[in-house]
Amino acid sequence: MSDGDPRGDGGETVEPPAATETAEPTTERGSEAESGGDRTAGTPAETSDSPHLSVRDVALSYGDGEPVVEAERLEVPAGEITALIGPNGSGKSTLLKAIDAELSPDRGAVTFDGRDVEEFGTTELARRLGLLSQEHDSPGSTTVRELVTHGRYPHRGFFERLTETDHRAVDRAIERVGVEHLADRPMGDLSGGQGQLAWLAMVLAQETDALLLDEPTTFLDLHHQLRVLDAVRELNEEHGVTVCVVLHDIGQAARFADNLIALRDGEPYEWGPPDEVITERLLRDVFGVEAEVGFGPDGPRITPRRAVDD
Amino acid sequence: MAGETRESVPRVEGPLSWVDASLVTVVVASTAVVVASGLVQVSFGAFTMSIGAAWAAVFDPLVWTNPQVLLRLFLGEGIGNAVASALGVSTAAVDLPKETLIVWQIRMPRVIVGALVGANLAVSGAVFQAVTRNELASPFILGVSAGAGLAILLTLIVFTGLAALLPLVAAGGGAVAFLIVYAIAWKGGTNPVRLVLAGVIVSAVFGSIQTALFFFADDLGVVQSAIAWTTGSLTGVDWEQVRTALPWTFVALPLALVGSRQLNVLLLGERTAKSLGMSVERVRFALSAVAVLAAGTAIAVAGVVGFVGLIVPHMARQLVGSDYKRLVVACVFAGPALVTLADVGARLALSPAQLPVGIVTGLIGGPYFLYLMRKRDGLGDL
Repeated sequence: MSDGDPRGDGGETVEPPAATETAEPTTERGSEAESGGDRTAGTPAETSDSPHLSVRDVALSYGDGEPVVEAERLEVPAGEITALIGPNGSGKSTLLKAIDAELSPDRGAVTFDGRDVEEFGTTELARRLGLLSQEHDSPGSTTVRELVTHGRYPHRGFFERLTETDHRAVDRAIERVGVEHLADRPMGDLSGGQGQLAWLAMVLAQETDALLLDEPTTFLDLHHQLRVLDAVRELNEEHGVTVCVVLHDIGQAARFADNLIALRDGEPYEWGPPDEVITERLLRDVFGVEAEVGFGPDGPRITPRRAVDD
Repeated sequence: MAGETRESVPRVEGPLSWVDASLVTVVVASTAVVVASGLVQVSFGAFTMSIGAAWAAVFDPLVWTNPQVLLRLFLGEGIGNAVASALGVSTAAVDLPKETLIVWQIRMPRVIVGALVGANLAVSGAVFQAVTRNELASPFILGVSAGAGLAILLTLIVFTGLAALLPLVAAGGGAVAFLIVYAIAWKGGTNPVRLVLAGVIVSAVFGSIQTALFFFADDLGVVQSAIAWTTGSLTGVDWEQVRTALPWTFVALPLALVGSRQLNVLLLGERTAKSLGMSVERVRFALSAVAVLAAGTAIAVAGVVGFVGLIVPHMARQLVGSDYKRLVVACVFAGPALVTLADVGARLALSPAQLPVGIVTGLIGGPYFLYLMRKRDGLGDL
């Protein structure tokens, strides 16, 4: 994951780096008893390349207003974790909506695996691209397992019953985020952090080869923040799932992601590996913070000093 | 992963694995209430009989061992006989004792229609509560009752020639109002808040026109008839109404049950539903249409019975939880229980005068929400 320089310097199209190969060759189902069996159905490893997401010359707006986001070119490289960072109102969530085909760009396009996301059928896209949104809600009496089972929605026909594959995907997702002990508890009884893990499990049960996460750690305690990020990191490392995540904490984003995209006022300010993106200048220009940036063993370390007004 | 071996045991998942103890309790208790209210209901009238005699008449073996009798009642003389002969059942006339005749010919329809109305309204309300994501929504939240009410008044006062088609006109008026609400709420898509607001707009306007029309009614009979229709009444219903409601009920309720998984996913929030690949707008409209069909069925045979579609899903949710498969089934049973019970009240409260059943359901509905308000501090918080 060190070679992930997603920047196409100048204008020429640089192919995004190939997916980080997953370690072991994928064995088909059947041998899962000894292999742990917790691999994603139709893992990208089977087809050897994960999908990449790219944004080309887009302008995004709500209704007839001014564009909220304008970006010439952004890449979410295949098989890597890319974090969107920026202050409130910088357009991170809006950009995520365009990537998920929820918001139609005024111009330009977002492509997923080389194809315009708007050309995908809703179900087709849901089978390949998962979203953990911030605006989720579940009835208090729904159990964790019932919630996670909804993640199988795009894989089931209108009248289809849950198959053994569905049950296994649900079990795997529950195990991956470590909420086995909560599986039969109603959502209403869980803490915020436990609830978020259950929601993450629902998205993982979708077994997509790319994931979008909208501020998955906001409002969680440190323990649950790490639980969420670890589960995502593990999925990325084992199955090469492409991840695009909005994070509020720059330090966390720098430690967690392979690439950062920093947005300011709806435009990309800088993007690339954390070492190159996190600079004192960026913190001042984008976040309005005077800070010192040092180098720690796991990437840049930020010590904020004071807020600056421009 | 540690737990994998445990999961390698094939899961036993029968088609009814979602049925749990609370649902069975609701179904059994509701059925008991329907049977008990039904027996009370059929024992009263111009020819009063004891509950025991009513019981004997309802379960008269002459009715239950001669399928042609039931076929003729439920399907009508012509179709009933045709089906009976097609099935190779005798079509001979059966001589029934007087009690049995009175109970089956005259009094049973009221119980059966009450049960059908209750089931339709309860399921309709449950669906609208998910569609609008508002647990205080009713089948009439998207203008159905206002449209039906206006259509009823227009028929009784202006287009008196259509009086024979009143049930159809009423249900149609509800459907038209629903479509207007949807059209108003549509702006490249809808959302629950826009839909509810559009419902308020249409209901306000239609309600005013409806009230204005009362001024043009010159006959007390017309006014009474209009009130009976707009508050909902089971007085004087006949097998004809059973035959009207039955087929639509068999369309709407299974569709609602089939849609229960969509309803569950819709409850997770619009964005989540979309990210799971649901075509939210299409599903929302289709489910609303099913709910309007169910509400329209109830309106066509009993008028606009209030509160049933609001309280029954609410009560059922307290008992069986929010899973829509269980909730829809619970509503199919609990709705009839409430309506048949309320109809006993409507018949007996001011006996011999009879009240519209909608007045009694309103009298039950108010205190229920008072109880909820006291019990749950959070209710009504925004």
